[in-house]
Amino acid sequence: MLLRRRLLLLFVGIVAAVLALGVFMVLTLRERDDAQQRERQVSVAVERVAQLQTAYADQETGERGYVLSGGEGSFLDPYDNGRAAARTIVSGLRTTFDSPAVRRQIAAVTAAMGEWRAQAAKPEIALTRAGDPAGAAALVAQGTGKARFDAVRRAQGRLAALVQAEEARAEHRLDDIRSTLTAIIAAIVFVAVAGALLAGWLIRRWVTRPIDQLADEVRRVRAGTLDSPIRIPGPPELASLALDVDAMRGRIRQQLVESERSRQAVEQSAAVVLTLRSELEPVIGDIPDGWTVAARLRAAEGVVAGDCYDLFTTRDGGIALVVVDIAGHGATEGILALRCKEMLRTALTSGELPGTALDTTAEILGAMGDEVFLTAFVAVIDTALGRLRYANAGHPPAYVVGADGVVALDPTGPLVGLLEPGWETAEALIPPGANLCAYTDGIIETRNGDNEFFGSERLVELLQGARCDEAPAVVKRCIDEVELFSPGGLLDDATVVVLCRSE
Amino acid sequence: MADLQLESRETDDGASVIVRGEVDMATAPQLRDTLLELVDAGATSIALDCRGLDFLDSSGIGVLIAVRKRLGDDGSLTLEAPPAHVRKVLELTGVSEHVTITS
Repeated sequence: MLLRRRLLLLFVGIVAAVLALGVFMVLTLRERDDAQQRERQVSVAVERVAQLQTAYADQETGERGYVLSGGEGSFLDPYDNGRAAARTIVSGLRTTFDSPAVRRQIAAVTAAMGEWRAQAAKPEIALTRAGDPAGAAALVAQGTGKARFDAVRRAQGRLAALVQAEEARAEHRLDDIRSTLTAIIAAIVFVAVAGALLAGWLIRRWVTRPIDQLADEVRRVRAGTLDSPIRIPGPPELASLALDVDAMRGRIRQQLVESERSRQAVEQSAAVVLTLRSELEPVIGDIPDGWTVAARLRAAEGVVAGDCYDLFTTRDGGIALVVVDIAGHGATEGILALRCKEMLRTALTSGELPGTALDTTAEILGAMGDEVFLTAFVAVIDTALGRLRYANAGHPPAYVVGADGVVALDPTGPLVGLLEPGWETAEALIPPGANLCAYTDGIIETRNGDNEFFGSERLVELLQGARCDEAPAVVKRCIDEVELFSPGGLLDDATVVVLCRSE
Repeated sequence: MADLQLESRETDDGASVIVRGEVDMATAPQLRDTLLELVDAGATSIALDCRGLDFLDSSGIGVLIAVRKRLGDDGSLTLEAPPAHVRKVLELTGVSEHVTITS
């Protein structure tokens, strides 16, 4: 059952129980009011029965006084008043009680009183009033009056006993009702407290505990345990949430498996990648005396760089130097770099000037993609004269650092691949004791922990400081400084090629 | 990883975009999507406020050229006040010939 419905039922159940008990209590309160009223009526009736006795005694006393006094009229007043009072009391008692036993007893009492009046009181009063006190005294002496009045007293006594029994019953009933009321109030308190406890227990069982369990499971997944499925017993809402989480776990696991497969695939192709990389870093051939060359390609993260360089001797004994940087780094970029390098080598070997070699290469490469391009520095050095012919296609300037200062070999045309082609060949001199350094932007765009760039100024300073060294030492220093500058590792490929002319 | 924040609004004849942060291999797609969306919406003139652009690598250069081409001969791509090192990259690569750079 849905959690929402369960909670609704629980709530409705508790409220219904309290409401039912409330209705019962209201009814019982009303019953108690009735019983209290009855008890008051019966108490009044008990008093009335006592008054009735007085009223009868008054009549008997008055009648006897009248007869004994020989017709003193004032003695008849209590007799008459007593009769009137007795009538009122009796009619009151009749309305109070509808029980047949009490009514019969009231009838018995009034009948006994009637007999007394008819057989004793009336004849004695009549004789006295007729002036025959002796006759009256004789009647009294017969004892009829006394006997009849004793009967009245007995009947009266039985009535009093009956009415008192009624009073006891009324009190008893009131006590019963009061106990019932106390029980109802206790029941309401119990239902409220038990309902709250039950609700708490059920909410813990239906909501809190499943959520805790789910949280434990999620934590387990976070810790890396992905193999066992997540199942939460509980209401459908939480069970379905658990199913969703489990689906998520399944997907993470699936992706892990896939990435592991990819990793294995990459490992298997590592040999190919290494071959490609060694192609990108050429073996430098014989170099004329008085010159040294060195180069280093430091690839970012992956094993295949988007950078490549080439160093080779031309047919007429010169040195050709090529540095290419493809935007991006990866296997595709690596292959593109290799193609580009081969084309430039072919063009330069067949005697083309650097600018023309770039034109040829760009034409053959054509459009490589919407956002794919490369930058290149291409140079041919006449080692006899120290003359440098170069072309720069949107590449960071190479530097000639000599005793007289630094010359930056700026672009002679745009980057290759996206913009209109056209590269000029420029010239520069490498005097004895000077160095030529070409590099890719990975060197100067390396950043330290404070997000500062290594920058071309730092590179130039370094080159000036290493001017008298041979090429391998300069290259090593460049790479060491850059790696020291960025201990976190390089984000881009970094290449540096150095050519030194001794004094 | 470096962040890139782009804030674009329409102007009379196109759109202007405030570029903050770094454009590199990770964020270049974000720049590409934002700019091409503006081009697709009919903007012919796009101005990039580059005051807050800290870094632009070759991926960003590629995006700028691709967007410049999409804008066509009648359109224009303006880079407003790029920092010196970004400006230098634009000049070195020859991109500065094809976009307007204001200081």
